[in-house]
Amino acid sequence: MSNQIVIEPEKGWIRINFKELYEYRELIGFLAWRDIMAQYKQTVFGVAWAIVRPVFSVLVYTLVFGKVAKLSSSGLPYPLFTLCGVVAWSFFSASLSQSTVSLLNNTNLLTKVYFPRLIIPIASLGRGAVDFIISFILLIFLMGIYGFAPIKTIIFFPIFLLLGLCITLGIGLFFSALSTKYHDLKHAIPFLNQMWFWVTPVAYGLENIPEKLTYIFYLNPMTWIIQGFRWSLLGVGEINLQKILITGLFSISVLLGGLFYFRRMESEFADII
Amino acid sequence: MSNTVIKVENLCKLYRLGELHTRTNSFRDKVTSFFKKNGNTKKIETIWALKDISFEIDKGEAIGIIGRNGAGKSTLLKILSRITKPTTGKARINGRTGSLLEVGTGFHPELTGRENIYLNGAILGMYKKEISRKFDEIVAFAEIEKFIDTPVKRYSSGMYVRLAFAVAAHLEPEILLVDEVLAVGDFAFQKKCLEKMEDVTDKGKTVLFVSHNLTAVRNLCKRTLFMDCGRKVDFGDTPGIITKYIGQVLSTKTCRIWNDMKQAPGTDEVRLHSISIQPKNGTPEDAIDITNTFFIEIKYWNLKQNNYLNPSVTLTTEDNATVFITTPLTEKEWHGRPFPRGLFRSEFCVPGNLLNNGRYRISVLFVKNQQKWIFREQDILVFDVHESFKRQSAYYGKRLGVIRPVLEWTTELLNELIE
Repeated sequence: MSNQIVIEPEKGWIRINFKELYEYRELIGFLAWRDIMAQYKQTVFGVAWAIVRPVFSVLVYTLVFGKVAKLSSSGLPYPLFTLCGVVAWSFFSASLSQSTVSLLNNTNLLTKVYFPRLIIPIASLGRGAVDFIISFILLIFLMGIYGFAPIKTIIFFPIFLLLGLCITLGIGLFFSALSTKYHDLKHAIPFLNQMWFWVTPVAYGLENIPEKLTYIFYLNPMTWIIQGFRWSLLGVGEINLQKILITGLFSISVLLGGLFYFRRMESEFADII
Repeated sequence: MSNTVIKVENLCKLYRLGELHTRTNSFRDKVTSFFKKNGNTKKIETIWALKDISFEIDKGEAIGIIGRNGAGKSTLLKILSRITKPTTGKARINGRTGSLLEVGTGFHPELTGRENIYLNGAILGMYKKEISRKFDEIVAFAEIEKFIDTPVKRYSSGMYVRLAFAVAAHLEPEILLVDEVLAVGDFAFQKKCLEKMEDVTDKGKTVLFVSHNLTAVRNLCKRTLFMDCGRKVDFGDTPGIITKYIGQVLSTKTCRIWNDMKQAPGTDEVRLHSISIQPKNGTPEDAIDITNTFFIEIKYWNLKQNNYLNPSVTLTTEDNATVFITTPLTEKEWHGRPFPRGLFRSEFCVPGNLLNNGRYRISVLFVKNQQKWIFREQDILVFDVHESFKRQSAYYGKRLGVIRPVLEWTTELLNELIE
């Protein structure tokens, strides 16, 4: 007897059905495409916003932190230093906001159609991913202007990219599942993003932080992702194998934690959202 | 090899009412209640939306699911569509399912018709290639060729619903679960929906159809599941189930009795004792359909000696249109005679094939000496006249007209044209 599906109560920790996710892979694309289209339709600048935002951030940070506060940027030109941080950080913070509300925004889908629910938060990263690609191209461009050629550490870049993705997705899954139950969580996210920004060396180098307080930054996993970005692309910062391993372990645990928490809450989404 | 495509075993679904729509569904409250150890004594009400539902469905069957609002029909469909999980029990499904629980799920108003076809198709479970292949058919079915590249927010509601259904209609699941989508849209749309569903069953696919449109259920489904209060009342051949449903659920009171004269409607001259309605060949509990002849009987006390009483009964439709007012003008025994004090019974007969189907209200008026009002009591009884299922009709809508008589037509050939 071909595919028999058994519908029964689910308890506890449930395994992830990767086969099913693969079957529905096109839907991830469609939902992401829908979000992107909806955002840019009937707008004046359209996709150009994806460039305006990082450029503007870089200008402001360079002015405020570089010129006014006169913070140092690990030996790199300030704009380049900040753009690298901004590119990574924007993806993280935008994806965090979008994935947290992804289930809430798709209530109608959750209550009327079946598909693996993981699709929704994964697809919500789509917008951030597109913005990331565009601003990354901008970064390459800027690197060219400042005369930074690719160096051998660049082979590590995909690793940091992947780890950043793991953390983002893991936390996003956790928050999205949590916000189906506690709708006010989405209001906490902008605040969370703000605070997190300050303890991440996005717009200023780690060397600016007094010794006693560096541990706060060290505990923040995004610090290492951003440092990793800068190290692999631009060659600054101290990254060693140990740090990569710890970050890697941490990212993967966050992802797994998020995945399993999501799956555990999944059966109740349609009932409690 | 078993032909069963759906096997449901003791399915139960419990909803916790307190948690669902609580106004304090916030993180802050969760945290504060953590500290208030004794503050969590708020009782959470529960409701069994489904209790011990079991049945089996074979391949190629079209099954209707009927019941009152709140019977659990949509919940059952949600569970079978895997949108929500049962609390206990299980269901086994053999075959790819496609659910139509709502028309236009996932449509985005900013996207065009074309874009929404792809989006909606993907949401319903179709692959992009499949959608492309069927694209022209879908557009033709929806009859929106000219507007396919306009944002859907500009569509009329009719276009919207046609497009949404067109996409869903081209899903090719082995099992189709449909929930009251006929409630949306105009008559032409409903007809199209039903024809498509007939199509699906003709091809040997299985259909589960939740609806309040009994005519559609009668015509489409061989067997029907009747649910009430979350339980399965009965499951069997459609005609019998529908009669049972009408009898149990749709019937309104067919009889009212006032044993205590002081409480009965009336004055010190006349008091009503009872009013009842009954089909000619049956009991007061039987349902009346448009072909049935039925009697309306009133019993009343005349309290004034030698009163010249004229009772009259008015029948009105749900829209407050008066169907008729009838009085015993041609009644032989007591019309025109003075009434002694006592209990009287008057009855009149409404022929079959007169009234249209629908809900009617009865009002009673007593007049004396053919002109002076004694008293009037409005809307004493409400009853339904049902569609007749004996006549197999292909028409699913409600026929217009307060009355629906079967009139004698004659047709003759006047002049044959020979080439």
